Amino acid sequence: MTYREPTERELRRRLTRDLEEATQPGAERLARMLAPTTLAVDDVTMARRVVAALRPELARRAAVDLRRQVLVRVVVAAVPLPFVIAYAGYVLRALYAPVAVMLSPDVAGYVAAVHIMLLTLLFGATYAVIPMMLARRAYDGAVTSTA
Amino acid sequence: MESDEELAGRVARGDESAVEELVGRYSLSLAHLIDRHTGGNDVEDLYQETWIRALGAIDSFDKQRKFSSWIFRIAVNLCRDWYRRRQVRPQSTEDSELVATGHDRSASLDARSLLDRLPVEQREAVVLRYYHDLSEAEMAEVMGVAQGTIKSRLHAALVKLQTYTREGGENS
Repeated sequence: MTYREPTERELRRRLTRDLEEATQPGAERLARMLAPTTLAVDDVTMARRVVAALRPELARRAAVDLRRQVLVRVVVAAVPLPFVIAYAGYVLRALYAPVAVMLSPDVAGYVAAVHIMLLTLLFGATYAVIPMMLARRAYDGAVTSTA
Repeated sequence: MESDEELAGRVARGDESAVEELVGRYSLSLAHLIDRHTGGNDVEDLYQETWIRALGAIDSFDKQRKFSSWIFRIAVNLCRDWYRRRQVRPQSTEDSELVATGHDRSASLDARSLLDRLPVEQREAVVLRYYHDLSEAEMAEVMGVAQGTIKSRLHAALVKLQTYTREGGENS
């Protein structure tokens, strides 16, 4: 919506629209008397100050929104996690049996532990990327809007 | 171009660029509405308060409704509260800071003094109808009254304004 002050002619037309027929001759004089003038309001400066005043609340809202988005994505991403872990466990057991035959139980246990740690690290890093990517997107958006 | 209602959705999520866009779209109309409503008193405070209230209540904004009516309603309610708090008439026309362009200064003073003589509800109706060109349905939404009430307020205001202009004509 782009607002602009009405001209005297527009004002007269709007007044005539509402005035009863008998009182319509007065519309012209009324429009002349009510004719818009430039008011001493610096709307540009006021708008700038308003945005500055709203900034803390906007930052709070943006943080809340980011947290909500992270939560939603982590929950969605966690849905297949039990299946992935079950499959990783199955693979680990399948690999452990031949390794335990070839190596001593201690070394085989060590290899299995390292494998579990690597998987944990991989999963952890995968989930950590979610908030980082969202934060990056929010940052890019903020940079683009200020540019 | 994004609609006001879409921008309002982004504002609710804390998007500063959406706020800038929305404030830019309404800066002039809101400032003029408040200025004419309060006779030029506390315009900046009320303007800022309007946006602060709007942001505070943005989650309750129904995107099926027009954003313009919603923000105007907030501004109008704040102006009414301002009257109740202050219980003063708007500043006299001699004190007002009007800058006439395209019309002489006396004409601009006439416009303000004419509006100042109207009761608040009638002035509100005249400003929304003739300066902002709102339909009666939109006015009813902004002012929170029935369309019939709008019609009667406008009628009463126009009768009074015509009487004032006739008086002015006879006196001059």
